Amino acid sequence: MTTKAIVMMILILGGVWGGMIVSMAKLQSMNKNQALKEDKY
Amino acid sequence: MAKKPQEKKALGFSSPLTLAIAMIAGSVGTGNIWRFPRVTATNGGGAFVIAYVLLMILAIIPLMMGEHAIGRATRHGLPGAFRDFIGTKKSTWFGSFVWTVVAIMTAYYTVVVAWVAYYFGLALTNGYAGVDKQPLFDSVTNGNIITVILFALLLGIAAYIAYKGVSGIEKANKIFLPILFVCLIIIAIRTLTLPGTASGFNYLFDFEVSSFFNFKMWLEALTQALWSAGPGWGICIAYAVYSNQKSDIALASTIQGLGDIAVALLSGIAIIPALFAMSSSPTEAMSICASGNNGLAFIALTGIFEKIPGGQIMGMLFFASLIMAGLSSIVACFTILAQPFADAKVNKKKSMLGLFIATVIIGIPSAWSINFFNNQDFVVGMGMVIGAVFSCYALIKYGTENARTKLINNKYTGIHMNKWWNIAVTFVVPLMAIIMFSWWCIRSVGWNPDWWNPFGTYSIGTLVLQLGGISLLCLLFNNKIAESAGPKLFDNENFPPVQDNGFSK
Repeated sequence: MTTKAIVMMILILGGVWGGMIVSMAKLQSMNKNQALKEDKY
Repeated sequence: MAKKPQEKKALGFSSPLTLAIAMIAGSVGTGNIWRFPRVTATNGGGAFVIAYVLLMILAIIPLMMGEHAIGRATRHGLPGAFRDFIGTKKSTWFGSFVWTVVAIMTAYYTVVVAWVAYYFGLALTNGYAGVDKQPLFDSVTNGNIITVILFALLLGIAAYIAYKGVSGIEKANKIFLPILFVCLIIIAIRTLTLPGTASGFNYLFDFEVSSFFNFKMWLEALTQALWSAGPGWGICIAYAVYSNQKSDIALASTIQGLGDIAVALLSGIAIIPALFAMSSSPTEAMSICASGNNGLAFIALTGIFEKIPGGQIMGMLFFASLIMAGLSSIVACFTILAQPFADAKVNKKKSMLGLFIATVIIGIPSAWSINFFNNQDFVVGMGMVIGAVFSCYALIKYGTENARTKLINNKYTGIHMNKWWNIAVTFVVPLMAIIMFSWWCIRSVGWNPDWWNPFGTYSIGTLVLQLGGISLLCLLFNNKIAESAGPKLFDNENFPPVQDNGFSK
């Protein structure tokens, strides 16, 4: 594979898959915090 | 200490994450798995991938956020959603139009999944080995009673899952999505081990700067982005009807959009390098892709699976992943179709049974004849573009600044959208949709000398007849549909809670 192809593959796949996983983790953590707040009150 | 009373199951999706996953499942379909690799290969490879990802992030995902807000704000099926979000009774017809397009889509799209199921059976029994592929495909797609039976069976399965409501959708997606991802990952890994795949990977991710000045490449990337993620056919609106009042819209839609791209990229990695490895040259590989979705999936790829050691298993995994992708989308379609009947308080069993029978009847011509199927595919594709414009119109009428600052950037938001969101929904997406619609119409004239023929497969005449006819019917029955959609729940500021419409648990 060319160097450009390898770099683009890492950037695109990393960006998309990483973004998706980080967003899912953030959504899950926000939901847990929200649930904890509601339980508290 | 007092015992906690037994908690009732809350209405709606059990968490924002299960909603986001359901939205990925609904968006991901055959467009990701067989269309994306094909159009990528025939439109410049790496440059196309970059253009597609950019368009998704800058335009399509913002629109999906807007549609999500519409669904959560109105808590109604499509007709009621447009009625209440725009705020006038006459606006109901926008939702009715999109609903009708989805009804047609449910019918013909399930035919594709029936073909795939047929081919899964062939892969299981090695039934396409040594057989001439084109006549085999022709026999599956024309006048084949087994295809029709598979079509009805798949419709029944999807209708049943949708009948079970949100809990049915959540349980089904726990099966569909993992199988889909595992199958594609295994195929991708096997592809990586084939000799000669480097040229395919280079083609998929390398690019020439000059490719970005190719107008057609951008149009194809736009077409893929719009048709793959699916704004404009109501899935974001329909699933958001069952979303928690207090969860983040921007994050959920971002997950949905990135999930859609992720599956497309995985499919590209699974298929394009294998195609390049098993073809005598990159030119041959690209000409295979130019033979169309059906040519690639059912003719060329089956031939390739035959040649690869372990190819029978690859074939089974490929068709299994397509079935999972297709089924999850059809479940979303039935959810969209059922909601207006729930709003009108029609008996749940009767409405689902009626919808099942209606979609079988509408879909049988497509199951019997590939020409009819191709026509429905073309008409629905254009209908979806119009649906995307309708969603933009609804957001503009409500006020994009209000939509962004009150609904999307609410106090539970994790990602705050800036003014780009307003620009994307007001100008970028409508402009893209108009350009795309015009381009496909111009192509239609180029393909057909009888472009005016209302019974042509890809003619402008057929668009006018079918989409024009749907519009007229929706306008004719507008008041009746508007009255049946139930009371307005949206006070123009706050999200109402999830309603118990029979499908929300």
